[in-house]
Amino acid sequence: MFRDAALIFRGELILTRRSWAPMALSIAQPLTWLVLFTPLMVGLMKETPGSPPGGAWMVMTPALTIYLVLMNSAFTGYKLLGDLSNGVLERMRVTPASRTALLLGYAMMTVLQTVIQSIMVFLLAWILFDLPLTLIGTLLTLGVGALLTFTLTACSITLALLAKSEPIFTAIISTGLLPLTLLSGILMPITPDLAPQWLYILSRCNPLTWIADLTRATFTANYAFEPVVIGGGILVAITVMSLWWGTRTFNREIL
Amino acid sequence: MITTHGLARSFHVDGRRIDAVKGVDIDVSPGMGVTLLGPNGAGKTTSFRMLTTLLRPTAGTATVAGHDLLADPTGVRRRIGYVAQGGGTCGEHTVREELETQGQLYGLSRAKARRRGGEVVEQLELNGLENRLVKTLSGGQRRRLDVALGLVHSPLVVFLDEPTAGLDPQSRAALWKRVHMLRTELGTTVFVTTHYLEEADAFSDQVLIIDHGQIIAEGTPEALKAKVAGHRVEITVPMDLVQAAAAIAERLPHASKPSVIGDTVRFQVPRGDAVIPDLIRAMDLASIPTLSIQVVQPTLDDIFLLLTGRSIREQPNTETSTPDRM
Repeated sequence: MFRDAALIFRGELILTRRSWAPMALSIAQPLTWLVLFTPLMVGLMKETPGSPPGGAWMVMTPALTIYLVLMNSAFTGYKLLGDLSNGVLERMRVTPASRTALLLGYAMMTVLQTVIQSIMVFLLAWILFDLPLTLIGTLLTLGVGALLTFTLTACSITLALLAKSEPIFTAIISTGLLPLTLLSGILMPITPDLAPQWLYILSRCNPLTWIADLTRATFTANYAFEPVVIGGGILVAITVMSLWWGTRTFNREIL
Repeated sequence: MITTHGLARSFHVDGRRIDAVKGVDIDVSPGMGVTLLGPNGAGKTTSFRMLTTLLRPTAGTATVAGHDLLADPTGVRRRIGYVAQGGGTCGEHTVREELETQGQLYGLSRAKARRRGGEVVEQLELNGLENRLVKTLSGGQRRRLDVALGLVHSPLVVFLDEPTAGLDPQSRAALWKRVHMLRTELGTTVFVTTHYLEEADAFSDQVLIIDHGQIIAEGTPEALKAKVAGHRVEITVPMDLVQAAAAIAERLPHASKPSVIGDTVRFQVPRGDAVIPDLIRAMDLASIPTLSIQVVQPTLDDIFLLLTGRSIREQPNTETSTPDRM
């Protein structure tokens, strides 16, 4: 299974090497966020009582990686729609390659992209803004980001398979992505002091909120029970669910 | 090599039920070249997609290459090659990369996949194109690559869905030559769909004629043509002897009732070439001079016409209305 996934990943790598400009641009994107957006939030949070603990930069930097995860994963489905229309996916589905491997192979490229971007964000934040990074905290945060990328990419690919057409897929992603992003509190933390109660409760229903909390905990190496155990549990649960859903959809006939 | 019983598939489109394939029984022996012939929308692609594990049948059973289609799809996949109607190559990869990845997805080692890639490149005359990007290939070259991809793992059966659609006559001829070699030299069972009658006629050991999701006739091209349509024999004699000639023709074994048009007598007979000697002898005995005699070969289209009242060639393109492509 891993061999099959690696084969598909290798193919994707060759394609990326052959046309590297889009990838380079997308990797450069988080720098824009870090430089043009984060300082504003940091300034705001210093003025605001009831902000999450750990210092503004330490709250915003891991959140930025979650934002990258979301953006990268959500649009991976387009790649699949391309392979769906040119028949490559069908050709692969006639091979004995495991269906989970097909899913893994497609998702690995996005995971790689997100990990590279996240490392750049951490490095830059460390060099420019003198963040007190710990190696173990950084690695853990990268791990959470990678797993979440994998999960959400699997969902995006599965949705693309179910939608089968670009306009429908675009509609689903753009409708779902914005509330998911806003409610997760990664751009603007949603705390009981800042938000009305209903919004706070709503944001707690979003699994991404818990995972954002988890990255903040791992990033600051502050392993409190609630974010680590509940956030970690939710992450594992949605990973397993997305893998099952994706494999099932790949297995099923696609008309 | 392929056995099906009552294989059927229906779709639900806008609340309507469409029976794309209504229960087909197919029996294909190893090493045969078999053609599924029918107009667009007859159920050819849907049948193929079921036999290649891409589409789950709504009824019926099938064994392909010794493995049960429903119980062991992976076993089937390992032993078959499938070349879809639209192909399945990525323009940004090179020919070599596509062939190697495909071979490895079938479980070949990298070295073996490379070697097999070289062999199918040879077999399908893709030499010198190995390092070209797929998007730079001509239509005929790209189609041959599609077929090469279907063969790289040395399958027992290969399914070719409309292998020559959209190609120019030279490319079509070149592709058929290669497919023919596959069977004669490697003993691969080849199952194709086509709506080109001449190609089906020239290529097949067995033809299955499909219409509205049902097999309406099957057999060797010769048997089909002889059994269903027969030959049309036309004999021209001096005008005043035409009725006498018609009377002779009527007495021939298995001949249809002759029709007389001007100085020509026409009748249908299962084997026109076989009745000619008897006919000429009888005409001689009756002292009727034969001015010309013609045996018109029926085409597969004659059979379709006879069975359905329609011509395969005159079908409007309805394929797109059936959701049998993903």
